[in-house]
Amino acid sequence: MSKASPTIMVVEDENLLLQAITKKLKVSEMDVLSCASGQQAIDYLESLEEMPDAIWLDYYLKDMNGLAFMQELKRNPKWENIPVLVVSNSASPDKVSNMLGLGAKRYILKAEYRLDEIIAMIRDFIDERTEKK
Amino acid sequence: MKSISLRLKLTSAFMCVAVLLVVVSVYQIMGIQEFNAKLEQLSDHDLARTNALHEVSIAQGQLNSQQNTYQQAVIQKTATAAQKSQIQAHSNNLKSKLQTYTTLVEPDKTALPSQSLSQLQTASQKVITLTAEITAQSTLPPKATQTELDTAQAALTQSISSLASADRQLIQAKSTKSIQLANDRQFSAGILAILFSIMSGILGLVVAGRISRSIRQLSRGAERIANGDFSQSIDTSSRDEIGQAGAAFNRMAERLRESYGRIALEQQRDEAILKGMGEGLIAIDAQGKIVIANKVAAELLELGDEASLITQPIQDTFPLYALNAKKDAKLPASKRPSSIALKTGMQVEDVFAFHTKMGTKRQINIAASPVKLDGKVVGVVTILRDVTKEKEVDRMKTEFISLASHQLRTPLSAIKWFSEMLLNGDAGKLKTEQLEFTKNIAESTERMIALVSSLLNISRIESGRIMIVPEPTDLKELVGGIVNDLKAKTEEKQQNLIISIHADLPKIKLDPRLIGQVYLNLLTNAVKYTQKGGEISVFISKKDDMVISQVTDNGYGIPKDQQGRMFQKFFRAANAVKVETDGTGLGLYLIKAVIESSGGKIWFESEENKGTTFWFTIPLSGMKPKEGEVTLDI
Repeated sequence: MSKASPTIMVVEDENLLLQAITKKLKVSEMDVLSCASGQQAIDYLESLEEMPDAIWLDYYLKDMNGLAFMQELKRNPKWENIPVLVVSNSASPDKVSNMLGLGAKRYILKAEYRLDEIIAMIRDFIDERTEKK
Repeated sequence: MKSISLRLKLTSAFMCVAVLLVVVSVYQIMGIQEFNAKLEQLSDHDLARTNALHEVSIAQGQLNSQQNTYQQAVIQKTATAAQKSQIQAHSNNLKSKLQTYTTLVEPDKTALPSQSLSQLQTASQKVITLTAEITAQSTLPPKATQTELDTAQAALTQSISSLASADRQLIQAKSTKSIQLANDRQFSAGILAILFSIMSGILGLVVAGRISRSIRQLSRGAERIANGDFSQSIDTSSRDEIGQAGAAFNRMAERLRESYGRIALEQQRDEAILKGMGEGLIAIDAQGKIVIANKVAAELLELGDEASLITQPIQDTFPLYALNAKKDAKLPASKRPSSIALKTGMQVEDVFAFHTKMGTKRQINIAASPVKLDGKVVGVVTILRDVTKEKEVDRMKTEFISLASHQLRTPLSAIKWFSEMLLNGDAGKLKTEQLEFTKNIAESTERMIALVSSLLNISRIESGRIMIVPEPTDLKELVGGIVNDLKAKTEEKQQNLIISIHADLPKIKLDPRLIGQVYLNLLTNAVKYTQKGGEISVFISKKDDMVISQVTDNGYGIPKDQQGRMFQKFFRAANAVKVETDGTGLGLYLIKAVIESSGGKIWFESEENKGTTFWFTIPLSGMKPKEGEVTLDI
């Protein structure tokens, strides 16, 4: 068992969405690391001692795309096992397969899911990972 | 107009000639008859006259001989009274004969010598008188009297002889005149015959001339028509067969003129079409040689003057490339659309690449249609269209819709998620009305999200970028999964959903995402547009080489007058809009496109307030794979 409230890193450059997600995660009793850019997220990860339990990743970021971010994660063995949920407004087959190939747990379309559905997915990832440990 | 036949004309001409010949013959015959009559008349009269003269001569002889006999008797003194009376009788006889002759000679008096005639009268008178005088005395007459009698006798004989001679001459003259007359008649008949012959000849010439002129006119007219000159019509004034033939020629010419006019018009139109059409056109014959090329084609393919292309083999005039081929990988002649159309007799249409002299690559849509005559391919008409810009615009449009739709998802997500939190009470408990309004916002947002998804799908389908990835699919499983997803809704509406699938239906190679969309769409519609407690059924069966799927409901149905528009983009039936505000009007359009691109068909039957049945087919052989960039609903 990890600590009581899991920490979720949210990488989303749309301020309103970031606000909404952060709020929902908080009311769902989760700790949130809100990042408005890819680089900010990488910097966070580098400075953190304890890794987040999951990452919510927007595919299209202003400074880098999902692929570049996933490749960054792969660089560090501490990071590569963090479950990543990609939430994007576009899910062309090549993007999906590339991201899944780079280790993303799931790739979903924005707007297709309610927040509580997505949070349920994240919980599943965390539980799954905890069970493995 | 009553026509006079050529036969009648010729017959009349011959009749005329015949009548003229008859006239000549009759004239001749009449002449001969007249001649005979004259000749007859001549002989009777002249014979009588000559006889009379002869009888006068005989009577004179008898009187003379009786006188001599009496004088002998007187000398011998045996003279009797009977002898005297005999002399008297002979004298009377001579008198009477003279009388007859005088009567007969009357018409010819002028033709006979008058001296002899009067001598005949005087001498005979003297003979009669002297004879009577001598006979009255019973003695020999005095010498002087005797001599006087002898002289009278001689004069009488002489006059008779000269008259007889004149008579002969007269008869000869008369017969000569008759013969002359007959000859004259013969001559004039000959002249007449010649004249008539000439007239007949002229008549014949006139008739023949007229006929031949008509025929010449006819043949000249026919010649003109043959040379395509319809400006003058053939003279049809003669009312015979030639006139009729002329009229027939004129009618034929009129018809020809009309059809020539039509053909000329069509030709002009064709030329105008060729010239005016925006597409390039090249037509080839069965040997692949160019027979028609328009300016647009020549310009499009940078071939200079279009006229110079005629008779050239099409594959030698311009190279073609497959769309993504390298610049040195020229399309082989056998794979060119015109060759395929020529060989297979089927229409071929595809987009090919063409490299300009400037080095730019153009996309050319080529449609090659075979031209068939009696089932044999005799050529190909190729329509070329530069679709470079079109494809570019199309790509941009699709890209725009795609981009716009994707971009819409971000603000839509914000609305969706914030309203979700409001409804969830994450920002505090809402009052009833606030809750209601927020619900409305959430619902509208859902519709908007669905609309964006549909728009994206349509742009994908229309752009042709959609990929088809067939895999062996168990339809039972596929439909089962979809029905399961819909369970919540059917249960909510207490609808009965029946599935019946052909028992030995094999797995079919199809794209489950695409076909799944079709079932999902039809079933969602059925659930949506069927009242609470209704019944929905799915039947999947096999017929020939097709799999037929049937989705039936006993719901609201589709009004008759709107059934024709059901597959149109954004169309929703009036009754559907009333009962369900939610809906984009894009579902049926989308699945029709999916089914048709899979080689199937979709159709329906519906009755308002009774229900609707949709059928669609998929080839049992499955869908053909297609490379592409996108799938549905992502």
